Amino acid sequence: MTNTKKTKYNLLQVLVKILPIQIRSAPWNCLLENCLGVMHGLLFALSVTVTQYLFDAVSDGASGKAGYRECVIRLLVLAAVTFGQQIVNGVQNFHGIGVLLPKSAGRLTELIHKKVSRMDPVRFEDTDFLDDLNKAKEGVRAITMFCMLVFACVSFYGVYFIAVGIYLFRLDPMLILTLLLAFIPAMLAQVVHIRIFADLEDDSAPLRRECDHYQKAICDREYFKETRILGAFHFFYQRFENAMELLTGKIWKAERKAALIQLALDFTTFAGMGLSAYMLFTATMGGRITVGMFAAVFAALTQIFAIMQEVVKQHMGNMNRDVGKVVNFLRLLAMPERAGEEGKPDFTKGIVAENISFCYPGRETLSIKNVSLQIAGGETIAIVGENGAGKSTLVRLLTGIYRPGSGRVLAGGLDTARYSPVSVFQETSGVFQKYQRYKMTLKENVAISDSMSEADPGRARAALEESGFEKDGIGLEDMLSPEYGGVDISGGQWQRVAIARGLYRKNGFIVLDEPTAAIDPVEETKIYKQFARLAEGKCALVVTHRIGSARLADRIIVMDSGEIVDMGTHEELIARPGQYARMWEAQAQWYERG
Amino acid sequence: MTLRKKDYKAYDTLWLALEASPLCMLLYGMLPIVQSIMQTAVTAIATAGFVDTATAILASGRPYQDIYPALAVILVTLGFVNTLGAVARLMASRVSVALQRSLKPVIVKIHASFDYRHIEDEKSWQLISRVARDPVKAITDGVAAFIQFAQILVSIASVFVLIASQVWWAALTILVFSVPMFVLSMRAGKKNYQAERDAEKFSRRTEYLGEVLTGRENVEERTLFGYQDAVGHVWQEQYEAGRKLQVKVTAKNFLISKGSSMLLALISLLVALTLIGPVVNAQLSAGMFMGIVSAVFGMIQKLGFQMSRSLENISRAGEYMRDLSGFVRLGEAEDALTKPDAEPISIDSLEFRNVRFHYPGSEKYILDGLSFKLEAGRHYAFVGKNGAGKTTITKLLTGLYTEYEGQILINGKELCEYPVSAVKAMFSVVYQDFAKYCIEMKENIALGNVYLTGGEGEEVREAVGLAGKETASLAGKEPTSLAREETASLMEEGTAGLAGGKTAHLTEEQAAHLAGLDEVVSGLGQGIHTPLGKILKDGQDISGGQWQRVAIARSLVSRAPVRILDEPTSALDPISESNLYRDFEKLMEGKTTVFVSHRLGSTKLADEILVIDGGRIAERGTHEALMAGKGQYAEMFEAQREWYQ
Repeated sequence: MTNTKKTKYNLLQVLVKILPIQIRSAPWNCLLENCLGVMHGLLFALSVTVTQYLFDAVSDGASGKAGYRECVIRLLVLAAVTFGQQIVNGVQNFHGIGVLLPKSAGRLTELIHKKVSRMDPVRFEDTDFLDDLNKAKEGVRAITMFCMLVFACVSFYGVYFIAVGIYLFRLDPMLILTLLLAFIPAMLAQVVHIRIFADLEDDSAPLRRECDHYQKAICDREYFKETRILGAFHFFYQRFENAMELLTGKIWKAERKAALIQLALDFTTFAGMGLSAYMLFTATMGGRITVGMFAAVFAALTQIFAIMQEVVKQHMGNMNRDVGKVVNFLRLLAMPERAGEEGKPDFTKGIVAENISFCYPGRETLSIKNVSLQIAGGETIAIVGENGAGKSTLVRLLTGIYRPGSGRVLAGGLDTARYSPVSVFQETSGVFQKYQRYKMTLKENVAISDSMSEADPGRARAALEESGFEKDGIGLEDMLSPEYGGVDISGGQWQRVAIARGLYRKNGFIVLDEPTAAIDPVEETKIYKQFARLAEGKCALVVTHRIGSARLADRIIVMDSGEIVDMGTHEELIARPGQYARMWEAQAQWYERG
Repeated sequence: MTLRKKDYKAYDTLWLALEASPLCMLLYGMLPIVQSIMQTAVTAIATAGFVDTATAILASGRPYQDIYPALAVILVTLGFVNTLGAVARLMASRVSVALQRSLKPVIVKIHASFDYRHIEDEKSWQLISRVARDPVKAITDGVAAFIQFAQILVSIASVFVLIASQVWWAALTILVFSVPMFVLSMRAGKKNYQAERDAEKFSRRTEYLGEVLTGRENVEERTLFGYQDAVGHVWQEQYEAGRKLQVKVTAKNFLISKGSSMLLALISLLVALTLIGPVVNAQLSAGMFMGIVSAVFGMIQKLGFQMSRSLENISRAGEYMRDLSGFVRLGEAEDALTKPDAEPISIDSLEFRNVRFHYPGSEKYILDGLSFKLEAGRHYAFVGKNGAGKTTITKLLTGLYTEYEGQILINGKELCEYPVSAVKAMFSVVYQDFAKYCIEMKENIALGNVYLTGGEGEEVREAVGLAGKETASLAGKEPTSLAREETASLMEEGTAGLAGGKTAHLTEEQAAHLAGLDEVVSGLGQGIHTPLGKILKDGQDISGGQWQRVAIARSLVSRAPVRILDEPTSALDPISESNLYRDFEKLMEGKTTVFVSHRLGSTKLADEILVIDGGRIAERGTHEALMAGKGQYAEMFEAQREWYQ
């Protein structure tokens, strides 16, 4: 399993890829969003013209050439346009943020869920993948935001600038330069800003982490009592203050630099506006435009510059910031999936592993080395070994959760690498060490193991009965989570729910992984015995930490460093000097007391 | 900077910022206000001046050069409007930096001093988390909101004054109509938090289900049981339901913010309507009309949105400040930050006398009449089911909780009568959830005796005559396997020069060696000076079991007379656990130890076993005595022993 090389995307490729995804997620809403954008842009531009009409009338009115009525009518037109523009703007913002964004986010999240369900579970052992997955989730909102900005740039801003451009051009062709004068300083500011703060981020991220950690070492729950009893507050506080001093020093330096550059660019903006104002001035004085036009365009000037800044600095800045997240989403969707032929396992044929090896992604050493094994139908196998010996990995390979890097596994006659997961798993069940405490109802907690069919209360009840779950007034429909207004059950009870879950699923092959978490000895013994009962007559794998409990199996496999170092019945293994006997001795000694 | 125990209000964000950086805060407050005046009233006057002059030149032949002063005024105004923003932003970031430096440490200090019960109490902890998460951002956001609001008021006021100076009765008319509308819109700004909370419930649920669908923890069950489609379906339902609720909330918010925009538009219309008459009647110049109308209509776009947002942010700042008031009022533990005494007192006896204790916020007595007496130099094992109260005992002993009934006596004297620093020096605890400090391994160990950290270490080492010793002789020796055999002799070496019976004083290197870390240390890039974890540069991760050994080494350098091992083996499998017991037997020879565990292997090391059940001692005695008694202990022990027969 090698890490797939990360494909690079440029902005255009990103756009080409995500626009269809976005549009498919909510086609009508995307269309509506754009229509609203166009309307908004037109009305916005129209208000400049209408203002000019009003000003012309007023300026005529002042010199007695126009009457009160005329002025009022034109004012009412301006008011109508302004109201219309405000309403469209409100509707558009609401539609974008309130409707389109959550709708698309939902669809895109579903895409991630579906994708993850088709991927190889071994990826979850790779921290890089987990990172990527998290980033891809962040990409969900980013995609829609990104596309909304693209829409806005095309429909709203595009239409606005074209309309205003035409208007200015018709007043005086020179005035079209205004748009360019607004664009250049804004663009420059954006480029510089990104560079300064990207450098700052690179520079300060380690310090920030350090600072946060020292704070945690003082304040977080997992450190609090120990730091207090040790009296280590001053040690960490000193370091916290130092790191904070350095960090804020760096931030301040970057801010100061950015501010100075910004100031310089603001002067450029000012120069641009000044130049535009001067052109207006000469046009007015030359009699090419009326004073009303001057006042209207001059007022619009601030607006044009502000909007240009908004587009370039804010929106393009956000797009630039989000493009990374968007790319993460695209990368996730492009990752390979796991598929295969359909088939039906037959566990009377048992399970066969032929020379399998396995290496976790991102690791260099093999976790399983050349293991061969045959489990007959109905046979119970116990696996023992120290932590990190490869027990859990072997189990995952034998069930087909992982596929071997080399060699092959036949689970109930199906090659786990060739057949689809659904086919391979259909008659396999398990109780895992890290069994889940689903924040769902008791019934759901049990029936989740066989979700293909409708949850059957009778079967669930029977499974709970068999697992020894103490009813204690807890019904099948009760929520097992105080957070969602349900009940809180003990660790032992949860373990039994997990066993019931394993039982509920139809199986010819079952995996039983013993808990190492805190349970008291009496409880522990009960669980071992229960496992033994569950395994009876089935193909079963029991992973065990208490060497003694392995006796219940037909055969015991002893693992060390990814290899099977010994195999046999308890009596055989204990009789010969080997790892099993050593481990037995190590544990048994605590129970031999004179 | 200090935070007082008082009711902080939203406007206190301004005071805190002012305290942190007075000059910058003043500038930060003033500049945007100046900018607002420039942008509205002054621009209007400049425009009026230009238009009127130009009209006069074009119509009645005023000298052409008269236009230049008017043009200059326009340009200067533009210049100011454009550049003040950057300066104001710089001031804002200076204020933020100052707050980071002065306020953040204060918050950390207060946080560190809290009475321990607040850390474990869910409600207080949530308050603490809310306050401590990002205090600087909360405060600077509040400040920004106030400034924004002031800008709005100033913009409106300056235009109003301008109008009043031109046509006084028009201003009056406008005032009469707009004030009630304004008040109305402020009222409407009160939000519907209930709907928001309902929507949040759904989003918490979908978040959880999303975790089930994509989390790492349940990848095995998810893959094998194949429940993705079923759970995915539930996710969709929940998401849609939450989304529909959220749409309503968003719609309302937009209505409110757009409502104020529309209101401003209405007022603008009113202004323009009122002013047309005076223009036609030549009471007002056309230029001034244009200036005012441009200013007023220009405000609509910006202000409507800003007004509702700044009000919302101000009320958010108010909520934060309310939290902050609660935060500074939470009780502090006395002397919480003191270091343990360098020279611990020696302990002859430790006694619980009829101790009853329940956690604050819970009625149930977790300790219910607990009585026992421990003597120096012996090993004790506390066993019992989960939830029997074992860990609570260690919390009471170390002074984390002080509100118990009954007595805890050290050398016959009540625990709380000792100074906090003395109590800290009495016990060294290896916790079940021991801390993984991401600092150098050596420092990690040295924290067990804070006098070893930093410059103070040398003094102490000299004081006990240990400086520089041992390390050389250790370097050549074989790692862990041999360590066990030589442990005893090394311990003696370590204690040489100390008064007999006193606890050993080891260097970090010795402790690492004894804790079986040699192999780990030699595998790390910079040996014992390698930072652990991924926080510091060149830091390296080590496994859970190795971290545990670091925690044990930390306890070894401690000079505390009593060592408490609270479920120290929970991160280990039973085989490693077994090895650890064997090591401990040697390491702890001659010391007072309390071993808290639900695993019974540990009891072999103990001179005496105390079985805790229902918050009191159910049984007590040697292993043999308890087995003969055929009680709870015997049952538990038999349950495990049967596997090994």
